Amino acid sequence: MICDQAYASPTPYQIYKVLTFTDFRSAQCVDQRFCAVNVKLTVLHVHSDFLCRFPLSLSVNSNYSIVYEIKLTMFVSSEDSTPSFKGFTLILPAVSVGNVGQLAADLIISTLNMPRVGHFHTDCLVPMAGNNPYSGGGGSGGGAEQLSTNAEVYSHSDLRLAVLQIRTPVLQTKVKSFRKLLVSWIKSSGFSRTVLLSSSHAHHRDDQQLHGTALRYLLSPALQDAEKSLKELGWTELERVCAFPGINDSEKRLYIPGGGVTKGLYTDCCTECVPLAVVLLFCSEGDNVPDTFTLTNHLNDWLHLLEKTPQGSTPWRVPSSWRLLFGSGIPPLLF
Amino acid sequence: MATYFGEVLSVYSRAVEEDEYDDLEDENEEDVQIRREIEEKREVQVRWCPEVSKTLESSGELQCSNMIIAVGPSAAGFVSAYVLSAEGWTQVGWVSLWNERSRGSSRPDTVPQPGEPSFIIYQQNSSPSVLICQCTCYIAEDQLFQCAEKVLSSVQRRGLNVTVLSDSTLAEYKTPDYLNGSGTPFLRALKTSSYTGSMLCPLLEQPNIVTGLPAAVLSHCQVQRIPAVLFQCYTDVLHPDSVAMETYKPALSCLSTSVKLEACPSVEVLQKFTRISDAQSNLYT
Repeated sequence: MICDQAYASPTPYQIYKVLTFTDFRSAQCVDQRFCAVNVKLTVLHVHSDFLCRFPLSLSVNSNYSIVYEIKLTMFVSSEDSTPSFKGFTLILPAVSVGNVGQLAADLIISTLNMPRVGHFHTDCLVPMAGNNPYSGGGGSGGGAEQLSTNAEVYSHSDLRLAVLQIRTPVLQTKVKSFRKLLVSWIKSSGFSRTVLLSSSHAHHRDDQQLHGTALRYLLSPALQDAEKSLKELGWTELERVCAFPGINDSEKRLYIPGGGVTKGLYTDCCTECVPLAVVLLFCSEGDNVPDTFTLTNHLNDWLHLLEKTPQGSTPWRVPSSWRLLFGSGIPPLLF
Repeated sequence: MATYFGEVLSVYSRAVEEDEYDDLEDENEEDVQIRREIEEKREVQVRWCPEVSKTLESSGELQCSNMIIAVGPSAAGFVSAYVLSAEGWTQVGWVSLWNERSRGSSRPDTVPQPGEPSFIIYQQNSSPSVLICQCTCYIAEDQLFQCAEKVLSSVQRRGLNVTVLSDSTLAEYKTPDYLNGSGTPFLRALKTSSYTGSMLCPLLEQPNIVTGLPAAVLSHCQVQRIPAVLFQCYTDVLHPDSVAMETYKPALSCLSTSVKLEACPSVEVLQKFTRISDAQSNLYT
């Protein structure tokens, strides 16, 4: 029995109030409209504190308890309509060593002049606000006065490309739910493939990883068909390392120290059949701008986001927010 | 991190140890239980006085045209000295929260004492649709989102305008020019897309950002399309002082029809809010 008639056309705000005033964890009914039905609520898939969007359905199962599912999304569109990402490639960074993935995402958004299409509103990230990080020099989406938040989505419809930029660390206790929400958003948006830009501690490389380039990739089973083209490009897959070096060389495991959410998200995407490619770089903390160019150029070899100049270089445009990486101006009295 | 000039900046490592995450993977039932209890303890609650609770119960939300949120010692001091002392304001609620640095949960049902770190909500007597939130307590990173959400969701969204006043040290401000103390304190602004008012001070330049409760409030307002503006005061004085407080005056001038400012608070009033910075005892006092 479906009894969602009462919710035929609630405004998003009304649903939002329901979320706020209902204690989902104890599955007790607080909202007046539910109390009227006078049955116990069982709640599925609800993460409180997230904005709620359609569809919302309410049904009574055979045990006379109400089961309702609310499809939640953390993506909030800047426009009135939600943009379609069907068949798009999604690039997102992992908050990892030297912020290389995040800087690379910045470089792509800035160079391709991608307009912002929405915010990622979640309690899993540390809050942050600032003005448009890509303003100046014909930056994306207008001038300086555009409030930017801790996680935003940028899109380029000609290239069928979307970039999710994450600007602050994930809260330690919320890593799991953040991964879950990312995967559910990727699945529901219909991205054809997702590229996770990441980095890992250079000092943790084992003997086999020390050979050759510092760049590695990983593909989830759902994206195995990309393997051939990556092999043609001469890319190296991330080696599994021994779980117990010197004692037992047969047991290998995936080990991405300093990679933040990388390993967890990769394993989640493997089990959830999400086509994901991890592109990572071994590096150390410091001035990571050169590392960023290395990673972005490497990615460009595969995705062809930007044409190379006849001289063979790629004209990336550094965003205005990269200024003053080493602090403010120097007192003139020093000289 | 060492810079080109050799001095060491205190930048915390952004690298995340994977092992910590692995711990989360294989937690047992007891761990889950403990985690849930901690989460419950850290939950942010907005507590209203009986009259307001009654209104909330009947209509679901409070009527509010202007909400002023003051975060940090100078901003809170400004609100106390220039606004709350000027005309009739009633304390209508407070936010109770527990974390490592604000252990308010020993008595979550009692109103915070004057002078102790707190998050108090005031309502104007003459026009009850103006609310002031004064925050002087520490809010942990994981509580910021919840805090902004809980406070703003209890007021009506339609017709709401949010003004955030906050302070920061000058050391946090990045500029290509060298800053000496002469130009301080100064204001910088951030606004949400739906804010249409005129700007009274320059916008916060890149690569400067704001964090903490002001950022959480602005993010919430941006997503919910509530017009909101933030005035961040950069000062080189660690404690609230009358000069820093005065910089906020123009910020509230656009609200002059609904919020009356004390043009020139008396010395006694100002002293009350700046006294914390007085040396408690030294050779000369």
